[in-house]
Amino acid sequence: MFRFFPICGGFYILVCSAQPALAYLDPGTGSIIIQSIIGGIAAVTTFGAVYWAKVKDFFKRKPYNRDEE
Amino acid sequence: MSSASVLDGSFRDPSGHVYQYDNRIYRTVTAFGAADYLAVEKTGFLEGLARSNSLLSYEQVHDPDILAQFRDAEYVLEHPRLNYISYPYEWSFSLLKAAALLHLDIALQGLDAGVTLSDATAYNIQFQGIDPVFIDHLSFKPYTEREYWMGHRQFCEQFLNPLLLRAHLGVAHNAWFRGSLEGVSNQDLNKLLPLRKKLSLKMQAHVVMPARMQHKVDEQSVGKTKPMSALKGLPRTSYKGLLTQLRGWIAGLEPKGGSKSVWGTYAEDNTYDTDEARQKAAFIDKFTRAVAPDMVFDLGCNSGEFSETALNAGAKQVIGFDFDQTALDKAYHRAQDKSLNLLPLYLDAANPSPEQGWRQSERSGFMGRATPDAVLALAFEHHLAIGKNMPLPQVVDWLVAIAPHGIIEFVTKDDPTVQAMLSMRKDIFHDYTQEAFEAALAKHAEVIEACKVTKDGRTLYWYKRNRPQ
Repeated sequence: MFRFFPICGGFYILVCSAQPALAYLDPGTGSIIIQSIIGGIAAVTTFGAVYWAKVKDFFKRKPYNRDEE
Repeated sequence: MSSASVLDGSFRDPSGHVYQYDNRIYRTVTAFGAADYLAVEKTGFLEGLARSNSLLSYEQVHDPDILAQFRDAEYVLEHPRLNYISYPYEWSFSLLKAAALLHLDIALQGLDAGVTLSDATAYNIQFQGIDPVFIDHLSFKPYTEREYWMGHRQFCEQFLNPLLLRAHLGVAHNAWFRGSLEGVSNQDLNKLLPLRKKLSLKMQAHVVMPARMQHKVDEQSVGKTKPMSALKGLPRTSYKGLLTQLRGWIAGLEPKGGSKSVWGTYAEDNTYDTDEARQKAAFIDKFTRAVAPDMVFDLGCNSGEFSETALNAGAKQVIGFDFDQTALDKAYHRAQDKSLNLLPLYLDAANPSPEQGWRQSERSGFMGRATPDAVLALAFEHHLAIGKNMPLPQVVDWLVAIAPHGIIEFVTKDDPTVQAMLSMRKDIFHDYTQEAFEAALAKHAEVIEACKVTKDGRTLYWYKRNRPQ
């Protein structure tokens, strides 16, 4: 439980620091700068599961059994 | 013959514009957009999308008489005319979700075909019944390795954030979106979300971090940000990851508090077993068969029960309107389950969609956007006349102006619903009488048939509007 607080605190600083400002730049700039980070994470979480399933599948394979032939 | 006129709402993209000419719809491709259009067209991707009805069908025009109308265009495409245009601020949660999923599916398929979307505006999607269709053929361009998803911010603000607003905070997006035509900004949503909602990785990636980063960028002095060419770019797997992650997230979103037992169970509203509903259905059936309308507006459509009656009686298309979000979602599910050509849209009749946007003409208003052949207004007028203090004659004027034929239900003051509406307020409605209603209707229309459906006096009036003098 106590280990959760620093994580919460980190998130809190992250999430509460966005304040309004006059925007001269295209409002998509913020999204583009972070895309390689969030895209990487998204790729790992979405496609990683597929690769992980393949890895698990590899180790779960039954050993070759001659009697079945 | 008049010359081609550019349609409002189609001026932002220099690649081409949409025109109406001789009552048909054409899209020009300018020299600016020709190379991208040609490259994408050669992949066969657009044709495939059109075949699966994800993209509005199109045909390249070769007729020299038509081409002569568009001398600046490199190519001219013709599209079928959409019967009804609707905007994201009129869509229910279900419709916005369907539109979001279509956009992501097209983007994902595009990536596999080497095609990408240059933007992610919700206005590029329209509905035929409840089926979304992409309508901007010039949003596509060839994919370049490691390019960024340029539409990410726009997608979040026009699709994701409005959906999150309802899914996480229980607030419908319609009023906000109508006030802010670009959608709900990341910064605004970020301020509203409680901390516990921000702990998810997805919320961080698509709302919180972009909002925070944008703030940081905005604070930097001009000239300090790196040009895009100096950035490393986005690997294709990451691009696909973003799209796939959002697709999975959005597919699982549901309105807050709308448990499955309540949400989408339109069948529970089926009131055909009451005498009143049976009489109403029979009256609508008779009316529809006699008038044979192509397009019907069903004002106060609720879960679409009587829209379905009209469709079964031969109406080709019904646009339903209601201000109750749960009712709209139920009507959506009815249309989906029974494959009805019914589009249920959000409407606050006391404040219908205005003409708005750039030069107040980019997005058209409720009146004048379409000319339905018939209108149904069942259990509707008292919400305006009693609920919103609109003078009864004005309500009748407004309803009759919508369509040349229609059914309006008059709800008497003795009716339990009106009694309930008046129970907590002073009765200031001395002019609210059946005689006043009939007199107002007689000013504009002939009553073909009337039918009393309850002992308290609820009456359906089938009217035919008089020809203008």
